[in-house]
Amino acid sequence: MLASSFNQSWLLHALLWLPLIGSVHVLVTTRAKAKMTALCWSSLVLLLSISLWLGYSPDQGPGYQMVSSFDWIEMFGVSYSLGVDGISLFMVILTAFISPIAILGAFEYIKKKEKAFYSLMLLLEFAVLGVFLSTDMFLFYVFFELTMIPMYFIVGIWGGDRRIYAAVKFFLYTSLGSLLMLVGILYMYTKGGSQSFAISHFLQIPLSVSEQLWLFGAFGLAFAIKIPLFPLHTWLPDAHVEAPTPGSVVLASVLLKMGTYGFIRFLLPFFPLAASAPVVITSLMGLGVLGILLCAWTAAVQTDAKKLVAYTSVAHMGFVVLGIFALNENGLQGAMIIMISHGLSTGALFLLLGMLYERTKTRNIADFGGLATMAPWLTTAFLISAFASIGVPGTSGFTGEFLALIGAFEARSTMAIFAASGVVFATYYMLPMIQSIFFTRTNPENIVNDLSRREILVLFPLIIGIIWLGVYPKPFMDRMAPSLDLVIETVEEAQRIDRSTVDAVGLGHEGLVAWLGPDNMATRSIAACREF
Amino acid sequence: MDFTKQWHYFLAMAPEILLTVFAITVLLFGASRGRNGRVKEVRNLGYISLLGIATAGLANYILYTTNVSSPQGIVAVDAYSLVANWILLLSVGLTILISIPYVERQELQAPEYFALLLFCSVGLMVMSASLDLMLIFIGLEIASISVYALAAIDQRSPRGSEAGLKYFLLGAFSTGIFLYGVALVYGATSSVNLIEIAGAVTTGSANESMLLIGTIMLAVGFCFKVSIVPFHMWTPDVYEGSPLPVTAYMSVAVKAGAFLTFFRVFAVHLEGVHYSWSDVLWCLSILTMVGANLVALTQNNIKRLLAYSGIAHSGYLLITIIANNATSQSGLLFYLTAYVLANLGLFAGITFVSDQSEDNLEVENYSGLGSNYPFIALTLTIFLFSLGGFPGTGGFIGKVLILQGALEDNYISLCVALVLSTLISYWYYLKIAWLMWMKDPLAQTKNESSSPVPMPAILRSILIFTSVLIIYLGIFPSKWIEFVGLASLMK
Repeated sequence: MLASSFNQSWLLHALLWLPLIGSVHVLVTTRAKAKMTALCWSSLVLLLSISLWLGYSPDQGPGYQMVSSFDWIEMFGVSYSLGVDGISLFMVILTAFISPIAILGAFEYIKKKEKAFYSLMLLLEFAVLGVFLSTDMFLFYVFFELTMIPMYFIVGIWGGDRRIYAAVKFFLYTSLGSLLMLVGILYMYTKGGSQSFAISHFLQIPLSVSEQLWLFGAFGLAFAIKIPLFPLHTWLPDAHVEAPTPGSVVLASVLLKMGTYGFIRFLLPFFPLAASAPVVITSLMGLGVLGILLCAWTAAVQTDAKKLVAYTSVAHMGFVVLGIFALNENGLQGAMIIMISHGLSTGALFLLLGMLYERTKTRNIADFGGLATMAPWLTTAFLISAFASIGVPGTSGFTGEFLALIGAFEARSTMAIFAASGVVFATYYMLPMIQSIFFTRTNPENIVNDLSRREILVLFPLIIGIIWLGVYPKPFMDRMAPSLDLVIETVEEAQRIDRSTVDAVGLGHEGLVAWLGPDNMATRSIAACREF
Repeated sequence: MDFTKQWHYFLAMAPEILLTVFAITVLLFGASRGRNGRVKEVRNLGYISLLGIATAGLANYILYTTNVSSPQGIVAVDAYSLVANWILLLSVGLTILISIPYVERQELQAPEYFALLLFCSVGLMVMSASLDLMLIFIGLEIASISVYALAAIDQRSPRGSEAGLKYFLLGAFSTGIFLYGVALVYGATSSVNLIEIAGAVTTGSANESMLLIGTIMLAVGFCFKVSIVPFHMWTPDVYEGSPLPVTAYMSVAVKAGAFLTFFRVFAVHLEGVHYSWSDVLWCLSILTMVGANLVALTQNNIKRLLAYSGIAHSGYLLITIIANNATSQSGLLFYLTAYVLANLGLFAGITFVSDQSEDNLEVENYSGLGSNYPFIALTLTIFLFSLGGFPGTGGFIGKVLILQGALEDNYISLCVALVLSTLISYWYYLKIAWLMWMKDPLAQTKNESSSPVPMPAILRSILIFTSVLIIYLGIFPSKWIEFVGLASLMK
């Protein structure tokens, strides 16, 4: 195979830059050709991502593979460096997989300024791929911010009636976090001797516990808003309801994952002592559980189907956070699987709601009724996606939530018990919606056609993915396991060192000062601990 | 060049001298001709001024490549002053380009107009190169008096006269305070030479209390020129009343020149009494960043909006003086470059939208610009994102440098204030962006939109030039960071 014969770093460069080239190409082509051009470019990226899946070898250890690095701003140690490991691999593939589907799903929905729309969709794909592929903090931050601009315009130009409100709220809310994270990144850079922004360099910067907690706060806020973690989620329902269908799909399937990806990639390994502090674990898992329960209850009373699905997103992300802060293998694997599963199932649900909207011009649950007889295929697709969202065994949702709950149970059993009730509530909001849309009496005003060929092409891959991940998740887990283990090891290692410095002396703080001197790292960190 | 001969001193001032010669030529050229053939006259005078700027730039380049060992005279010929000259020449050059269509359309007195712009630039260049408080004062006065006159150059506009008078009265007052500060510093250190003052400060031979009062008065004088809250009151009114290109010039060149001098005086030569002024400036900086951005939220007139946005940028730049290290000096120069480009690009766009006159200055007039003029709206969006400090633009790299400089000296509070006030500023920058792209054109402009007015070629080329440079600075900043890094005044 190609994999072993030569260095494959070109693959990552091609993956990253093709969408940008496509974006420019769409702008210069004619209006009629815009959609097909965009679809071609994003499909090409999808093909490359499949070869990435084939080329990635899980036996090579947990570190980055296919790495390559070029100087970008030499005097600040900023480099353009890409790499992929077991965590980012799936995010990259998910992005490459969702983008052509979202673009194909937009063909009938987007009627004005098509060139600009498809160009922005490809630009968004470029930015998101950059977030997941970069192994340099500066590069990461640039892409992280860049994702907001296309999304802002997609919501603001092609959205519903309150589109500007939703777009600006989205933009300001998410900027708040990322700007503080910028200060955090620069602080760490200065602390690390102002040499390099490489992630591998950042991992080695010695930080006291109080510094770790502050930085954890700065980074955590940025990611928690992006996820979004309860109670920072209020921008999400607005953005989802107002966004055009393809925008919602990309937002739910890919953009939210940047937050949880940031948790796993940066928060845990950079600030292991902060992340494993009992207060932090309890409060974050608690917020996750609150998000699961409160958003499930809120979803249950929604009359707008799209808003309902938006709230389920927050609930799912609650499970992810719960799994991450269990800080064990099951929890993290569960979190990763939910991230993928949520991308597939919620993406499918938004696409299906978009298709229903195109047919009936409504999203109000009460306006539908009895669609199952008119559109059996659409109903089937919707049922499968909804089951995945609930977490019915045999679908991807079950695998992820089950693992995350096991992990959480090992760490904090009370939390897991409350969270598990969230699965029950998921049926409580999802099934009535399905019933009133598809099964109750027929509304004579609605004449709904079944899926067209294009729509089948859009939904089929998502359904396949949902079932594959539900039935045979092993190939996924094999690839992500080593990298996730490394994250857990990093955290445990840091805890061990921290404990051993205290135990080794056994004299308490005053003795430690006498032994190591007041300026020693360990002494200072323990002093900081006490203050805290 | 080692200043052993008399004519070396003329060479050291060559850019300023050449620019003065051209300014006088423009003035005489205008005086010698009648009032007929206006359009051609404006163009010709504009081109002569540009030629003058190019010549001054060439002289500056020759000076930059020559090895100069500067004595401790009253004018510094160091890399810092030469980079400052580049920035000032760039801003006046672009301003003249924006002015040509405006002056033609408004039938302003072209010779006086262009000559005053050049004289003002000479003043700013002298100021940023001088090592002597008296020379700084002279430069400041040359620049200020030219701008007072420029603000009121449109005799038919009552608002222009009001702006000129207001600026003159408040400006004279602040210059008085500045001069008083110079006197006190002279009293404390018995010198007006910055190097000797720095020496007296470090050896402790200065009368401390008098020095401190003098320093604060100097700071007040500078803060007025760069419009730091609470010395900013004149800014919105003067910006609103002045002709558009003059507003553009004030918002970039006067601010840049004053800041470059401010940095040299305080961060380099008065570093010895850093403790005395840094806390005051710290408070002013936070007040400026937060206050100006909050007030900007309520503005509907684009000139007033940009006035407040400019005040906020002064607040960001003030951080570089407080942090006074090599990184923050690079930050100052880099940020000023990006700011000059973005602001002048924005003003070129505004000049077009307001039809080379003083109409259509409400932000609502930008509704639907994206559907009628996609190219102009695209470039304006780039400028807005650069001012907001978004990745991919020069403004972002500038902000990173400022933050980095502040962090090196542990001013975390300033960094947090900077990013939070940036967040506030997103609102009004985005507001213009959403009006352009997400709203339909206003009813009255809809009729005109059937046949879009073509943009003057000069304005179009400015838009292309500045937006390309901003993106370039954002994506490949290495060269320029390195270049401004060479101009370091820090030991």
